[in-house]
Amino acid sequence: MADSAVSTIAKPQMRGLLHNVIKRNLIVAIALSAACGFSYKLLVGNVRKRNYAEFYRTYDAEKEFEEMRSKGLFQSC
Amino acid sequence: MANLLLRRALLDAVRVPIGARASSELAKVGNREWVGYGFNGQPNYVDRPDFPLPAVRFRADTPDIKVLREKEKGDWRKLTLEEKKALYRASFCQTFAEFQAPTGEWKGAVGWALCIASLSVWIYMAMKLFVYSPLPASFDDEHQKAQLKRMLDLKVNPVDGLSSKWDYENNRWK
Repeated sequence: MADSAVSTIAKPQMRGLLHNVIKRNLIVAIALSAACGFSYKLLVGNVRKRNYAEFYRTYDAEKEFEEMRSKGLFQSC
Repeated sequence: MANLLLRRALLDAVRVPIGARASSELAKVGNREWVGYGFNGQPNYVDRPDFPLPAVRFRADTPDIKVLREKEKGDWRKLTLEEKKALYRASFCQTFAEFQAPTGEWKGAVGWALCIASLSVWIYMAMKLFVYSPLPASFDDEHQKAQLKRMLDLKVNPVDGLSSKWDYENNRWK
């Protein structure tokens, strides 16, 4: 069945294929997970921590409470 | 003769009394040669990419094929392309390319799925018109505005959420 128009392909890996496939997939999976984890920490976690720190730097609980009370939002006072 | 022995051996291996085996199975097989165990031990023919060795040949042997089978026992390089194709078609129904060819079934599936999904929207409208009671008074605009104002006064989620988007000095959204 040898047509002259067809060329032979490279010989596929015959032994240890599952081992190699698993190794490659494991490396890719671990790298992707680490990358996702780190980007989440940077883009979400750290930003959130900064926002909270900024908010509580100038937060006066008593003042807020007085404002709400004067608007009649509490039932007990 | 060898074929009969093979049949008997396979039957014994599966340990089903001959009468109990579906007479339809062997009746369907007819004259065709039972060549192996197949994917489940039954004498059947299925084109399967994951088990490419059916239990029976696809066609019964004709005299032409019998000649080719003798030739097949020798060097395959001596077979012409036409002979190889004839032998293949005697044993198999379709080639891998043929039975793995796309069928376009997905178009019908997606079409019907979308039809039924749109039907569900019509059903929802019918429910809203004829079945559900009217919404309570607290759903109208005036009530909802009052509820929003109360949430802003209570400073709900002031760091990242609702109240963080409200400009308290100028009384408007940021």
